[in-house]
Amino acid sequence: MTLKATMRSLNEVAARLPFHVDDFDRANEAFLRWRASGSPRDLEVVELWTYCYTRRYFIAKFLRDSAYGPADLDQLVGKAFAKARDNLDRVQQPERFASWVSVICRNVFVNFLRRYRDHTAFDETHMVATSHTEPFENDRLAARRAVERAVERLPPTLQEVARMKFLEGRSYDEIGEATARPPASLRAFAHKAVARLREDPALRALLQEINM
Amino acid sequence: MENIDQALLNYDDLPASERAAVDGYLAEHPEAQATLAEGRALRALLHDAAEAEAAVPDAESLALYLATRSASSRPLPPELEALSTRIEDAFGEHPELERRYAMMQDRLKRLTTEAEAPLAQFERLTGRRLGHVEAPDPLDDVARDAAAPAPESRRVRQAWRASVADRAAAPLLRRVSLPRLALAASLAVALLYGSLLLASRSSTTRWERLAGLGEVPAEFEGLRLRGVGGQTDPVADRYAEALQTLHEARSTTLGLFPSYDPDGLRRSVALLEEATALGEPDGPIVLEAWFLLGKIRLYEGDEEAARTAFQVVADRGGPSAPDARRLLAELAPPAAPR
Repeated sequence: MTLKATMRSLNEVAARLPFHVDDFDRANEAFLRWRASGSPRDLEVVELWTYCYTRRYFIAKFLRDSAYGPADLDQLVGKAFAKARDNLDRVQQPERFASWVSVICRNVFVNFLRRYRDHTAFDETHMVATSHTEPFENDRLAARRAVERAVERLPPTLQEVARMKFLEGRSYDEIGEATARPPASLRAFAHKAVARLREDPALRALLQEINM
Repeated sequence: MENIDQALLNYDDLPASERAAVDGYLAEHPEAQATLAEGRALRALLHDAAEAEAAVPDAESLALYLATRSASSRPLPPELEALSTRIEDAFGEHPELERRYAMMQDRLKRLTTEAEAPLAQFERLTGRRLGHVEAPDPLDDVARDAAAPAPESRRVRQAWRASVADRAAAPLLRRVSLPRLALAASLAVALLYGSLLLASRSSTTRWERLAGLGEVPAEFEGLRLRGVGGQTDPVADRYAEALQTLHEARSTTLGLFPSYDPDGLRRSVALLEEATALGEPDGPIVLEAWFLLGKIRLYEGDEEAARTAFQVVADRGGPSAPDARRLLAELAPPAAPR
């Protein structure tokens, strides 16, 4: 089978969606539409997206490790999809539906890894608190987007340092070269920025989801 | 020192002198640990935000790139389009990325050919009947890009995309019987590959075959399940680094004639020995480190050292104990002491 042929397979389902499977904003809109209308057609879009995203999620995970096989993929997709579908009525923040599904996928995957390695499991049905902070899928992109917006909301005096430190990943020495400021001052600016970012509502929501 | 809340939030970024003062405060106010943990979680999030645009995309970004491109032919959301651009730009400068990507493509092929077909699975899970529709190919953007004038950077990406996508058949080839042409080409490639495979296998020692280092994963997923907000586990860190080092030490030609750079093997061994020394003797990661040590020693032909390592795993019941016992059975018994 050619790569191109394999590429078609998930798209055979995803092509019925009016947007890309990784478009969280459109997925959230679709969910809100179904919540408002209750129509079977809107529900079908929600189910299509949930399935496509779930499958896409686990494929991305499995691509990183050859130890997991096709049977594991089938099992995890089926499990995560069923958990999401069976609990659609219980979504508390419908405007964050896509993130909710990604948290379910993450919890199912974490349990799978634990069973795989440690033979222990935790309750994945309702997101009990876990000690790890592995970000959810689309993690870095979601984090990036949220941090960019939060940095834009910082006072101008903190923005520049926060951008260089937290978005560009530069060291204090590198920032010092670019801004002609001593590293000790830059550290103080960065620390103040962290204290401000802690209060940012979007970042707080994101951290809450990560820690579910 | 800055105010205590701010210091707690930024604990890991404090100079040593200020950190000592915070330690003193924590000893007297254990409830402040919550602020420390909150700061670490926030710092971890900020770190992820920076990593999202790291110069060299990591395996997670690469897997996301391939999975999203294979999932749908709809336009990517802007942040994923930016990720795609960054990865495609990085391919030219970092050949190891292309190698890793090729491995992921192989895994994707296996997953999609052997797992349940998505349409069937969706219908089974939901009871809906969707029926077949002609779905546009997610990689058709290669053709779409080619039709439009593009700046230099985009042309580079197009060239790369064309090299990884299955290229559309050229008009000349369409006038020939494509199935026959494909069959003949497949047979020729299969024959050539078969010959090379035989040559590759015949050049592999028994120890190398038994060790099976090529099957060792390049990454340690357990590393992602560590404690709160970036706390480190030195044993897991070293084990993960040993896996990565071993993976980077491997070189093959079309998956054949595998070999390992001796320096890379030495570095892996050193890291694994550190892991076994640092961790609890019966800890699962320590025992996995012993198992990998045994495999590397076996690959190197040091049967006695391999047997010792496998025996540790078998005796202490590590996750790979069944494999260790199998390998011990395969190895000849040690010579009796005189």
